[in-house]
Amino acid sequence: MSLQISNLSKSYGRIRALSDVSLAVHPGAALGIMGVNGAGKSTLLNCICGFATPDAGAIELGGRGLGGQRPDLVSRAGIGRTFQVPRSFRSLTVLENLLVVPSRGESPGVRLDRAHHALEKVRLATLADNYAGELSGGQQKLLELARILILEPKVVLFDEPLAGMHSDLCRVFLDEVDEMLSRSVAVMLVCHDPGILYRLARDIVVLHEGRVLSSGSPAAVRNDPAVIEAYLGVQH
Amino acid sequence: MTSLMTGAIVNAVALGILYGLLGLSLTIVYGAMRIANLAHGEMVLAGSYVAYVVTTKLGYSPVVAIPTAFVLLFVLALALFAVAGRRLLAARDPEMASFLFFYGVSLMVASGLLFLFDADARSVIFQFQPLSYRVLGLVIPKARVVAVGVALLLVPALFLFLYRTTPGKALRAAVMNRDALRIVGVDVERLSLVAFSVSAGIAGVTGVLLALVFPAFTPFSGLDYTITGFVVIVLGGLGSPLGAVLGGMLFAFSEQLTTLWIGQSAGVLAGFLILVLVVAIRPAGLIGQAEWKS
Amino acid sequence: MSMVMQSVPPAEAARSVRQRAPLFRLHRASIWIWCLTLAGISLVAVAIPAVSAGVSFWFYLFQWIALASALNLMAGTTGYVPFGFAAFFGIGAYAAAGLTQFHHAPTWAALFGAMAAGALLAVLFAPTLRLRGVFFSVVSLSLAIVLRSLIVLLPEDVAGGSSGITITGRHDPILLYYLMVAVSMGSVAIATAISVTPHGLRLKAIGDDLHAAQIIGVNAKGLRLAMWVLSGTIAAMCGALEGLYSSAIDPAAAFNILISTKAIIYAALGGLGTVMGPVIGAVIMTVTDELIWARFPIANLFILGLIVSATVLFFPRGIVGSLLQRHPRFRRWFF
Repeated sequence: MSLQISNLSKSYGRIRALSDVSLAVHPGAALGIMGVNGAGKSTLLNCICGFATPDAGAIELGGRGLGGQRPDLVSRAGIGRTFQVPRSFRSLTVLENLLVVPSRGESPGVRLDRAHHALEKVRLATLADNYAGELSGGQQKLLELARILILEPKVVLFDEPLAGMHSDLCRVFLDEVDEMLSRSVAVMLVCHDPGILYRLARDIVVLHEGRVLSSGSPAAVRNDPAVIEAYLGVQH
Repeated sequence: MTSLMTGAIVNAVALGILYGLLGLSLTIVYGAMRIANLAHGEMVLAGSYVAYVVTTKLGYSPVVAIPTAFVLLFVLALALFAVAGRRLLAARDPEMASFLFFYGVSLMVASGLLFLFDADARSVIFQFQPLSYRVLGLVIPKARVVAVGVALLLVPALFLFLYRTTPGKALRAAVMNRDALRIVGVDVERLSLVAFSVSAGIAGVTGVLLALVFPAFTPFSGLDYTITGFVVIVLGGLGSPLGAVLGGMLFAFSEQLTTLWIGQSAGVLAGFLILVLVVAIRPAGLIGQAEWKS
Repeated sequence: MSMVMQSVPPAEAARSVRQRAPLFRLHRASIWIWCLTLAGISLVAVAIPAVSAGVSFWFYLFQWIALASALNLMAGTTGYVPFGFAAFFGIGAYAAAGLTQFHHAPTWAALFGAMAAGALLAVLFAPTLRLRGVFFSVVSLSLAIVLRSLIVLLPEDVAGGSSGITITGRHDPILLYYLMVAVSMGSVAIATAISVTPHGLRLKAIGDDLHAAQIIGVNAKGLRLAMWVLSGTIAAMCGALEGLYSSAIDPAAAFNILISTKAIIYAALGGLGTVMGPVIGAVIMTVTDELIWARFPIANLFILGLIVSATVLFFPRGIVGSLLQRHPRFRRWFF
């Protein structure tokens, strides 16, 4: 299922966080969203997930409108996300962090097996009985990834998935993304680091001051003079 | 009718500025430390009892009570912070922990005052020359003029502190983002210590001024002051100094005018109803920033 | 941190997971032990009128267990601290007393009336759940004060005015005591039932991180509203029973903010967000209160305050919460 965003705008007071942004995430492909701090990446994610209501524009999942829906309904529609700073439930154990996900009619035994399987995949099985609050930052990111595995969303939004992660753990993450893509999941990677996106994404959208500055294949974006100026020109 | 009306407005202005002061000191602590001082009313009350001792027991002018209350409460707050400050700031949920901790403190202060001064209402006896002024056909007690005068000096002074000095600016920045403040090298614990002590000192002074306006209080009046303080700052917007003053005015005006038009019991009701209405329309208060708890 | 080091080897972890299938981290036996404990308490409670001269102490003990547990259903899991919790207690007391005194309703009808009033009030106050933190607490407190003032303003033959309602008909205190035991044990049983289902996990998740809970599809608003109504209804029943038991109610006592703060403190002392905590906290504090009152009438409040402040500083998660924090092996037995 594709996630289609058309002409999305959102202002906070006098600040235009997003203006007229259009993009699409397709099954089995990774779309990279690139941009410096304040480019509008977080606002974009928050609008998609229902934490913010867009002022104008449409968000559609497989042709069905999502704009302005409650976050839990957006999630049930098939969108999953991670957060830049991982947000696990610290007073639940690692295993419970996965069991808390609302079931879609599976038996408790099946859920438990799936939860355990997901923990093994992200190498957290030995920590199943620890409180999530006791995990390191990188481990919490993996726990979020495991939660995504349990949810099995059709579209996944990763917010700075590799920031602050140890290189071994990065491997775990990259393998899971590959597997998701092979299962025709649509993946959106939000990242400020161009290097990672050039490697992973099939297409890249560069946001700058709330607008789409450039979009296309990594090679096209890399050579776009507007992108070069935004990334290098502004800072010097 | 018009003179009653003018009287009510004068009362409301006097009360509003005192409520504003009450909210201002409370909001400084909430803003800087993200903690809720449920013992704030008891600190105010302690100031009132300082005024009682200085004037009624020792026979000095209430003006002497103002610096005395400030210094006494400032020092007590330093001691309290030394005992509890770090643990509260490090708590998993500082807001909740401080709610409970300061509730305990308020019980201790109230029972301490009860032990020292008995449960009867106390009043401040003082002699001003002249006792009252006559302005535009209204009799205004000098005590009230002094209280409002001091409050009118204190509020701008606090604003100067918050908007013109470095610690004041740091305090306002803490309202918005404590972590950022830490990153730029501000010692947040020390800042909290300053905020807490200054706030307690001002609470003490507010207590003296309130004692001049409402001369009777008991060891159990503290909770009323605390509630008023919180209502005022929630009304204005948590952490906003200007909001506290506006909130105080709005609360006092709705209370006084409703009392004039409908009656005493409706007056109490009106203030709280205004709060509920304002928060229903603007959940962050009159001029507060939304999304407080990230 | 250090806990991470104590983790068990994978094979053993996998086995232990399978043993306790639907009950999450808890050992199955721990729930049985807890249920047996509750049954034991109920049995002792039933026997008390036969052996004790008065039931007053016991009546209030069970009342505080019920109130602390009811408050914990809301505050413990979702992180909302309703300082106006007394409003539910007060509306229950007024509904029951008014129905009994002015409409000669039988006890059961008075109780149903109180339940309905509590649930209705909770629904009426539901918009305040949009607020967070101190905002919610202060607005909730204000609403309780508004309600109290409104009741004073109502005509005397509806709510008794400022002097309250004195119930002239006689109620059997032993019956009311048994009803209070039933309400109390019932609310603890409900709390237990919620905590061993995925709903319990979801509530804790909402308390930890609202947005993260929503983003995995938890209907946070619906669950929170359900808890709010449940907790308000239980508090209203406590108020109703207490009103009938004392046979005289007035606005100041029925809407006393101490009802809110004591319920919060008892629950927090035992451990907010745990099932056992509020029960343990209520028992300890009611007994302590009784002992302190008897021996140090003047210092009573001071000692109460000292206990509260010291607990927050040294056991910030309450008794049960701190135990689980410090000794991970108990996490499968206490909840």
